Amino acid sequence: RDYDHLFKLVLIGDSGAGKSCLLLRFADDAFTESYITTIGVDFRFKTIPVDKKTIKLQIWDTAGQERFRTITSAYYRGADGIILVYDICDRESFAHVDEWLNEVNRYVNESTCKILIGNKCDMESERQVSTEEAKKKADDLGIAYIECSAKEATNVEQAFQMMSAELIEKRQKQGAGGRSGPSAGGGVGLLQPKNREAGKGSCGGLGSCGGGD
Amino acid sequence: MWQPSQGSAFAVSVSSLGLPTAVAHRYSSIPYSQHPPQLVPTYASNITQQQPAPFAGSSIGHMRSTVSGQSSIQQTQPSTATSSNIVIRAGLSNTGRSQQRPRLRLSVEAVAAFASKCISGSRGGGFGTAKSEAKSPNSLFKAAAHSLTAGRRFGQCLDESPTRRLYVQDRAVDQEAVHQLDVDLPRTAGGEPLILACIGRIRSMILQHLAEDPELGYCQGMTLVAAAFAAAAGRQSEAYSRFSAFMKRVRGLWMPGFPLLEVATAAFEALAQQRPWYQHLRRYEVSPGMFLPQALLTMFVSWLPLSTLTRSIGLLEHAGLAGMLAMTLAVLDHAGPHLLKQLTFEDLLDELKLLKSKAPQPEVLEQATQQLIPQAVTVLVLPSAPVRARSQILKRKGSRVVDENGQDAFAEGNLSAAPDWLASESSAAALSWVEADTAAVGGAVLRWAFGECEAPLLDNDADTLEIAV
Repeated sequence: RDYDHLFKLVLIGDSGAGKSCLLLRFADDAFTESYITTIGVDFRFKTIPVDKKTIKLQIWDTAGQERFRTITSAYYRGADGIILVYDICDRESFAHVDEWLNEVNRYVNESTCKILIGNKCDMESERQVSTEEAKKKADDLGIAYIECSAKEATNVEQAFQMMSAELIEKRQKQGAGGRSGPSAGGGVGLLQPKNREAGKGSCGGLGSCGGGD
Repeated sequence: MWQPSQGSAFAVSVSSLGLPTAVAHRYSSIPYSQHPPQLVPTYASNITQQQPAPFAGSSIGHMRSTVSGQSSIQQTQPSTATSSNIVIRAGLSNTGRSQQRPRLRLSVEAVAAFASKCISGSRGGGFGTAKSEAKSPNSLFKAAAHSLTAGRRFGQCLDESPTRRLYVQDRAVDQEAVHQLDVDLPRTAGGEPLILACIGRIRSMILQHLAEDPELGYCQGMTLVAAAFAAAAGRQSEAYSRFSAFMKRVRGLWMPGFPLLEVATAAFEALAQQRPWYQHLRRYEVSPGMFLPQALLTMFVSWLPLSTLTRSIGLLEHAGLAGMLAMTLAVLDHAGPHLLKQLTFEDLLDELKLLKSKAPQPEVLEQATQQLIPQAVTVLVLPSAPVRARSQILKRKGSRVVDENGQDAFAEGNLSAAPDWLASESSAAALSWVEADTAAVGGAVLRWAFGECEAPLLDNDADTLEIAV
C-alpha cells in the first residue's frame, strides 16, 4: 500500500459549472475548452502529500443534468467528501446549491465533509455571484468555501488539499475515539430521517468545516 | 493576429457582419480534402475555384475555404452561382498580385471575414483620402459588400432544409431543455472537426425531435447521437429522419429513469458473464454502470472514432438495442487483452477511457458486431410474462414519474407501476403486449423494451431471425 489514507470524493453541481475541468486540472494539470459533456460518471485519481502523509484521492465526476441523478446518486453513498461546484458567472448554478445539498444529504451522513467551490473566478467581468455572498452562504451551511479557476489553475490544488486535510483530521479523531458503529469508511449510516436542528448542530460543531477558508 | 489558415474561425466575423448564422454553420470551412467523401456527402459537390492568391505575404494569401453546395442546386440555380463567382472574383483578383498560387477555394464567410478586415483596416488609414491609398480599401470594401449580399442570396438558395437558427423551433420546446442543449452543444465536438462543422444541424435535429417527442425531453448524450447521424448522412433531412427513427427505437435509453439502460445493463451482464475481461473487471470492482452509460447514451461516439462509427452505424439502426449490445461486446472483446493487463481499479478505469484510441479497425468491428447480434437478440428476448391492463395514467415531471395526483409513482424503488408507465409511454402496438398481469414486472419491462425498441429482422443469409411475439 503506497498511501496512508484513501478518500473517495464526489464532484457535484449544475451542468456546465466546470466540474470536469476542475478535475482535469487537478489530476492532469491540464485545461481544454473542447471537453465533452460528462455522461453518467467519470473517474480520476491522484495521490498527493498532505501534512507529511500520502493521500490517495479517488474522485468521481458526475453528470450535472438532473435526469442523471438516478445514476450518480449511487456514487454519493460511500463518499468521504462532497465537492459542490457552481459557476460564479451563472447565478442559477449558485441558486441550486441548496438543492444539491438536499439531494446529497439523502445519501450521506450529515458529517460527511463538504466543500463549496465557486469556479471560473478568472472571468471576473462576468461574475454574477459575489465572493461575500457565497461565503455567507457557505457559513450558513457550515461548509468551507473557496473560489477556483480551472482555466488558470487558481486554488484548484488548494481546494483538494483543504478537503484532504479536513478528512485526515476527521479520520484521526475517529481513530482516536475508538468509537463503535460503522467503520471509518464513512457514508455507511445512510438515510436516517434527520432532525434538522440536530443536523445543523452537528455540522457546526465540527468547527473545521466552516473555518476552512 | 488574424490567420485563418484552414480553420473554421471565419464563422465569428460572419455573424458580426449580419450574415445568417445558417451560412456560417453550413460552410464551416473545413478543407474538403480532409473529409473522407463517404462520410460527408454534403460536401461532395463543392464548387472549387482556383484563384491567384491576393495579398501575397498577408495571411489571406494562405487562406483556403470553400464554396460548397449541393449539385442539384447548382444546376437549378446557375445564375446565382455564377454571379457569386463573379463578385468573388472581382473582390479578390483586382487587388491581388500573387507570387504564390495556392489552390484557393472561396466561401461566403471567407469573403465576409475578408470584408471585416478591410473595414477595420480602412478605419485607421481613413476612408478615401489620397487616391492611391484609398483606391484599394474602397474597391475592396465595395467588392466585399457585393459579395456579402450575393453570398447571402446564394446561401438562401442552398438552404433546401435550413440549418439556420429557427426560433420557431426554439419556441416549440421546453425552455429549460433548450438552455441545457445550448450549454451542451459547445461540449459536443471534443475537438472533432467533423462534428464542429455540424453543430447547427445537430441543434436543429434535436429541437425538431424534442418537439415531436416532448415526453422524452432533452438528455445529455443526445447531441453526440445526432452528431453521428449528421456526420453519417449527407442531407439534413436524411440525417434527421435516421436520427429520429433511431431515437424512437431506443428512446428508453434516455427517458427519465433510464429504463432501457437498465435492461441493457442486465443483458450486457448476461452476455459478458463468461468473458475473461468481464470477470477481471468484476474482480476489481469495476461495474458496468461505470462505463456502459457513456457507451450507450452517446451511441459509441465516446468509444469509437467517428469514421469507424459512421461505417457501422447502419448495423445499429438495423438491430437497435441488440446491435448496441453487440457492438459494446465487440469493442470490449477487442480491448480484452489490454484490460487483462491492468491490475488495479484505477488502471482498469483508465484503460476503459482509452478505448477510442485503441478501437478496432472498422471492418473488424463491423464483422464482430454482426456476429454477436443474434446472441444479443436471444438475451433480450427473455421468457415472456403475462400482461396486465393499464390502470393509471402516469406522467413525467422533471426527472420523476408521477401519477394523476402528482405522487411519485416509483417512490422508494416500488416498481409495481412500471408496466403502466412503460405502457403509457409506448405506442398502441406495444400496449397490447403489456396488458394483464401485475406480477412479472421485470418481464414486462423487458417486453416493453423489446416491443418498442426492438424489431430486428436479420435478413442476411442464413441467420434469419424472427422474434416470437
